[in-house]
Amino acid sequence: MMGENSRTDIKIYLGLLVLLIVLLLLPTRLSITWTRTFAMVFLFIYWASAWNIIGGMAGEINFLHPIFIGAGAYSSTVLYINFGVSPWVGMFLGAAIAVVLGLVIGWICYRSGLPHLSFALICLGFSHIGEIIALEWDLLGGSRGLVIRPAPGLANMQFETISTYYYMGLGMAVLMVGICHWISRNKLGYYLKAIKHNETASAAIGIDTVRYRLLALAVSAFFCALGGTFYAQLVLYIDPHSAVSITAVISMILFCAIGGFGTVLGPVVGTLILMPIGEVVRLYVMTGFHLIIYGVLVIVVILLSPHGLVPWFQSRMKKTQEESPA
Amino acid sequence: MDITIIAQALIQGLMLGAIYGLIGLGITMVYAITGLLNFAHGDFMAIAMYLCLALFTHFNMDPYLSSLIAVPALFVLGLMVYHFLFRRVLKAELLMVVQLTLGMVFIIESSLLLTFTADYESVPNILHAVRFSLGPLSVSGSYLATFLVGGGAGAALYWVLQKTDLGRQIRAISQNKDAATLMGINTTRIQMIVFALAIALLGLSGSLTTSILTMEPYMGLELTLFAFIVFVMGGVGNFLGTLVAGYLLGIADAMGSLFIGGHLGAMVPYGLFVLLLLFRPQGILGAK
Repeated sequence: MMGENSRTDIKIYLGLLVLLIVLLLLPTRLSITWTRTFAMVFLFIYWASAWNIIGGMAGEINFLHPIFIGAGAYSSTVLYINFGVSPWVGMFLGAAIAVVLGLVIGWICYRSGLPHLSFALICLGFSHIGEIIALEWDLLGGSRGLVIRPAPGLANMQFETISTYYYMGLGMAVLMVGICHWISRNKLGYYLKAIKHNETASAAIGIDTVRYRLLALAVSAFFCALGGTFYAQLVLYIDPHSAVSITAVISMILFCAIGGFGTVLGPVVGTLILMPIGEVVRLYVMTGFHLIIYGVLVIVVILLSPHGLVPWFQSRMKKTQEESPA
Repeated sequence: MDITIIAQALIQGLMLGAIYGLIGLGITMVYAITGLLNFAHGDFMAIAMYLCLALFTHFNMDPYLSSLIAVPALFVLGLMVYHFLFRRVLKAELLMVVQLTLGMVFIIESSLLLTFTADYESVPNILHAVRFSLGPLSVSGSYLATFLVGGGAGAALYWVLQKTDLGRQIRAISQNKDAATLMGINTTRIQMIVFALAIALLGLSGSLTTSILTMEPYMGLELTLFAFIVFVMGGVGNFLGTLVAGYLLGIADAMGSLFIGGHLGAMVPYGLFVLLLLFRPQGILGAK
């Protein structure tokens, strides 16, 4: 048994290594537009993986992430524009704000043992409030948004070539997937899994469910906010609709759904399949049409393989291994 | 502030509240008998409103007249969505269903965007310019019609749920689905009818509010959120509570835009909901 599992693991690791090498070499072959697109794809892998910690592993329908991303994007940008603080510093303030907001909102909700659905709604409500605050607060630029003047330099987290963003995004995505892998193999991951399957039973055997859900939410919020800063520096413009975007979090959830909720590689697979397809459609067919494609694909995947592509693939591999005598 | 202005806003809020109650009632009915929720609920109302817009621009048809087309059209659409999609995930986990309906949100919103562009639209109806007054208070005919028809439909539906065989079957399924099936109730058929009925209600709500609510392709998610708020506020699965909560939300909405105004005023219903969930999570009429 053990041997078969590790053989599957080795195959997966080899596959990932090949994928990584291909992605490392890719920018030499890509146009500027596509290099930028892939930087965005990596950012979404990073975000979707961060969402997956609380959403997939703990099984929560969590829509708070527009607030976290917004906290990261707005904090670093406001500090940079108004006070000349480097985004490398500002992003940690954003992450701190996101963690505090997450802990406060999470504590209020988890404490009262809200059912999943009410929790999802309250999250949507909070995200909506976050969007309204960004629209109303002059410091945040209101509906006009904030423009970051281009001034390339490492200290400003702005780079001359788009491929630097590409590699930075790739690095972030790899790091985030590594963190998710580590969490899934550790106490936190096992606890979250237990809470997901039966919260009452988990509490009964002595898991402090509120504490571990808060911990997962804080980790998720922290990394999402850092991604928000990267987003602002990549696009050099943020406004309430793009930086506190409920559409973005729905996209992340859909990417996780297609790849497989709660699996480490699910968000990677889902994003890598959906976003490039969406981008081709957006560029060559019609802007806006890509969301229809996302919607159709997620419905097809859920109807055909309800747990997503990664679990489906794993069970297929297991089957072929059992069938072959060697 | 002048008391008549407040009273005026109160009345408008109350009248729009009839619609919030009606769209919330759809969610409550579907939840009661399937245990599932449709995040694309509000988007179907957007479809109805854009249908009215299309009928108005091409045939100059009054939205009230269009409701005769919109309601059956959405009923059929509801039947199809239930048969081809919703039925297949009845036994899946909640998260999967959320996904499926979020997928529908993307499809509907983007289709509306591509067909009708992102411009803000509204369609006037025959009563829009007519004003009815009582003493110092006056109210636009379209608000009054919304209140009478929407409130009437809500009340009628409540009567159906309480007093008719269909209503008794629906309540039986919501209390214990297996027992209801064993008693000879055709659960699948009832589920399909109720789902389609909930969507058809959105057809009615949409045609009534084309002159009151501003249309834009992304309005659906916000309407869904309002419907969910009403659903939870009323005490999950409580039909009467849902209708009452609809009126409360309408008033909160009106008061928010009167006293605070702008985007901040739009936060009031959400703020109210958050407070309510924190201090009375079982809803206003829900049992402890």
